[in-house]
Amino acid sequence: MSIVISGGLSDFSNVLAKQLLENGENVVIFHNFNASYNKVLSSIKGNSKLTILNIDNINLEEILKQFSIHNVTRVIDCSLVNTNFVELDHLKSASRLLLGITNLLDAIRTYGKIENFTLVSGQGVYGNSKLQDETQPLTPITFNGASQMSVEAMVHSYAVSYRINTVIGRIPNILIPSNISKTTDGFSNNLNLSNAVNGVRLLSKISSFTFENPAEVFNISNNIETDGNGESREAIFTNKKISEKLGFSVQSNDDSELSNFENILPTFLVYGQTVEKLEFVKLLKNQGIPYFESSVDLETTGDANVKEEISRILPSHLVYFSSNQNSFEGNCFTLRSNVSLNLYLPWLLASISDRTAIHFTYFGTNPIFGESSESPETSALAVKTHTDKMLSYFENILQLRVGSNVADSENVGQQNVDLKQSGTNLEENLPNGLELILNKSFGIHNLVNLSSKNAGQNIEKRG
Amino acid sequence: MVYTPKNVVITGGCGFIGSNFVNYIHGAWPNCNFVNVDKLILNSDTQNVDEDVQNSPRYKLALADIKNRDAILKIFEENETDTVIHFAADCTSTRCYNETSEAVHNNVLSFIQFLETVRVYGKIQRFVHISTDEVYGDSGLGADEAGKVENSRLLPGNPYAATKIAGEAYVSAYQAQYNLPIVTARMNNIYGPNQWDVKVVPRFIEIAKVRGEYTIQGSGKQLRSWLFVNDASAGLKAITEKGELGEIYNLGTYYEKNVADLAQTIQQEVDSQLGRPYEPPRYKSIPDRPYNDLRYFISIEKAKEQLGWEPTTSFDDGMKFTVAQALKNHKHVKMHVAIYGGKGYVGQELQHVLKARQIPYVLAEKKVGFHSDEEVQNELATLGVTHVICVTGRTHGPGCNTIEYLEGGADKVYINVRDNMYSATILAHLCRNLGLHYTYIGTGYMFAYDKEHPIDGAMFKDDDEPSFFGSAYSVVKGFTDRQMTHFNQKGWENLNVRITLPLSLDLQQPRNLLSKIINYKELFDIPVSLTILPDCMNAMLNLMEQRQGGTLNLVNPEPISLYEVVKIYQEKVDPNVNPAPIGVETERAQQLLATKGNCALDTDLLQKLSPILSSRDSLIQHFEKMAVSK
Repeated sequence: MSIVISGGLSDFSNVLAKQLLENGENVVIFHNFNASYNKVLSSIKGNSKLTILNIDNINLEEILKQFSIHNVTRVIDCSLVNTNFVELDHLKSASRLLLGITNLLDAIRTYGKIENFTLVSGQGVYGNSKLQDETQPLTPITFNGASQMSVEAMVHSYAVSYRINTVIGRIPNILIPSNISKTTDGFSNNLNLSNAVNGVRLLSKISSFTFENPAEVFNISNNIETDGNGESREAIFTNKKISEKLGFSVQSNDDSELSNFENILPTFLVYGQTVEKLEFVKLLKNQGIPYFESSVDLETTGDANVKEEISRILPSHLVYFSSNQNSFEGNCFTLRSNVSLNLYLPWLLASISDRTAIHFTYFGTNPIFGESSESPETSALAVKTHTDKMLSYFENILQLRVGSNVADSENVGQQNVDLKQSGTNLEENLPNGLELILNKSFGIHNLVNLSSKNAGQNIEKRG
Repeated sequence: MVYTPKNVVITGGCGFIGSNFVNYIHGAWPNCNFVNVDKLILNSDTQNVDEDVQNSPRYKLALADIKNRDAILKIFEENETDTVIHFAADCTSTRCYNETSEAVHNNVLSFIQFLETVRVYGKIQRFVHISTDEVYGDSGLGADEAGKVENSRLLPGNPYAATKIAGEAYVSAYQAQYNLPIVTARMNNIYGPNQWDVKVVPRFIEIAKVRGEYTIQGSGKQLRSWLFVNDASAGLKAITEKGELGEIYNLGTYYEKNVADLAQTIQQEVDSQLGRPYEPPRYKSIPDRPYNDLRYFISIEKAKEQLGWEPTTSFDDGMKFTVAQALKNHKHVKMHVAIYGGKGYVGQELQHVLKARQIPYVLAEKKVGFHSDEEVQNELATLGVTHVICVTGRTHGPGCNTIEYLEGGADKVYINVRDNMYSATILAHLCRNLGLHYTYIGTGYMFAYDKEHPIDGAMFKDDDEPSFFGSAYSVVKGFTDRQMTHFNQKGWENLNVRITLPLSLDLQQPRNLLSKIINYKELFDIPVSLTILPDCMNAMLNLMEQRQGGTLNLVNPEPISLYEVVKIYQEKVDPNVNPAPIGVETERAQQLLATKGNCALDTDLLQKLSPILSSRDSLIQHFEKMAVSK
């Protein structure tokens, strides 16, 4: 039997995993490698009872599969913890959090064997309410609070509709006194991690629910609130309910162990047979990044084989190197290989990335980026002239454009260049590409050594 | 102080409550101009709006999704909009249960985008957000149960209610962050004219008409409040004029009735209006939905005190009016179609069927792959359509009348990919982004008889991956078909129909299979699936009206050989045609089987969704009509 911690690694989920492991539990963390937090406590790294998998909450099929493999009986979702990104782009974050929780809940109800589902939510749902006990109506004033309220509502509705044993814990912004957590009168409720985790663990142990209280809510908070001037008061974000019902109390333990972390490495699944690919794999090897080279036949494969390989490896990153072979002249069978290699396969990977939130990078090759010509020189170009444009409809992919491989090293990493006039020194440019990939950047970037001629092509850059 | 709206946008004004509000408010605010913004999902219908309102110079209809930022901003700017009444939502519990992610898209993500557009526009004085009493969750059945007040805790019992709470959460944040002038109405269970017949009142009226058996979820003892839609409209008028910004108002009634008793009232009213004696209803219990809330009981004291509003229509009067409206005949317009590639053979046949069904349509002017994607998107975003059909495709060209045209070098590959893949897939993306239903008319010419699928054996299913690569056309179309799988995710409104050997009854059309084969001296006697266009286009339009998605073999059931087709034609229409059969055992037939992608496609799914006649029966029927008119 195992416990899943979904929503990714954070200081909170690290401490939670540690405490669960110390209690003898098997722990599976669904972590989608990201740009900001990829580390695990040294004290639990390598623990045979800990499994960390590259799975995002929207990846319903994979979640279901892993629930069965690991015989999961409890799930603790931490996707609402550390959501500072919400205020930056509340539209995108609403999509990510709400669709994520909906898919996770669908997996839980389909699987049917989860005995306890605990959602870690936050104080943001109360907004500036003067009373912040669990019976109060919610009036969020930030987008962070709005996303918490929305996710809680969905969780509650599934608890009622599908009799999922669910409990919700609302925590303050732990050890991060910020404007977001402060009330208008300047006070904030700060709780250290171990205490917050303790509270959540108490909730996750509840295994029987009366139907009168589906998705019961508990505040997990400090007894006192302080402001910046050293003033304190009895908490309005009260922990009375969890203290009385589950015996929660704030302990004076510290979080000093949070200084000892080890990095979690990404896992790459790489496609293609080009020089660029070989160089890229060499780079991964040199940097000690785990990778797999795809073994599917890219010219004739069906969709199922591609998906099966990804599900088996569970990579954090998919990287496709566009073919630079020009000899695709011939009959319909050659055309099949041409379209598969030069258009369909990267398009399929973009589609899979869209559904699973696995980061996808497409390395395109000179010289037809974004151009449209009704009389292309070769059949390969006739196909590839459509590829860039079709891939750009997927928001969350990275397109890296590589020029002819040259030893010229001037102006590495420029954005505005004419690729026809440019070459790419792989040794110098591929590390730049890798950095973009590891940062999970999106959009179109050139990896070229700039020549002086005809600079000025507009390149869209996102992420 | 009373607020006076001038230029009002009503979203979802072709739906049930929205259209009744439009019909009510057009007279109640005689100095206002109205724009009804709707994308006609579910059972929305432009004809739900009264004819006199439709003809009023103060009323406009704009077909667009609320997430379509450009279209909404244009509507706001052009109409100097100062007031928004927001009804648009995905509001059926079944759909919200089965396709929850799509409900999240429609009710939350699109709504946040809409609020963002309102913020950017910056000139809305008042925004009335329509929510539901379901956000409160259940009430107890006891007589002493207190009605839920506006600041009661929200305890949603189904995903629909959860999406509405999420909407309210973002209303709260937008009010706090940007001071958007929003008032929220939480409304009771409403009945009245124009309601979708999956809902209990119209469903019961239909049963009552034929004195059928009343199917009731679970015990039928679930108590529901019944608020007449015009009372709700009066409440919304009061909220718009007098509601305090940032506040929430319950609009409801204390009149309650359980579902079993409702059946009795409706049967009495229908029998009375049809002038026949009353016969008590017969009940049949069906399994409940995952969790059926027992009762929604809300307090309306706040609206009474602060707005001076309360319902004034008795249940009997309201039901009398509703039944009377339901017994009248109605004209329906549930979609407005844009066609890409509508001038080709199949496109022309499609136009005939659209005309016959009086479905409004427009031929898009921009061509994908010829104009820039941006130009195509700009046109599509403002065409004012609800559905898109893509009939683009390249099957021939100058100097060659068959798909052989596409065999060749780089120039042909370019044309093939542009016209047989790029155009179809880009349109699928654009429609998804703009909230339009999309139908791609693809081909079944990606399969061929093989060991696993022999003649008279297993047929190719709708979810089979293309397996015939014997022509450049098949290769590219096959990949396009696989791309459509991406858009066929649960609840997405993307229909991929595979047609093959399209046949019409128009003998003047040179590309029509029938006009060709009746002149052949020899024909293969090998059974193949046929798309008899009038049948299949009608079935396709039915599915579009229901906003179906998925991949579908769109051919008539039961394969038939071209030789047999002409033999039936000979028998029914013209005894002078007399082709000779080429049997399956001949060398020519074996050659054909090895090199061509005509075979048998499975039609179980089509027959389940929108049944059509078998090839033989259909041809007999069509040819008999043809003979009569000859």
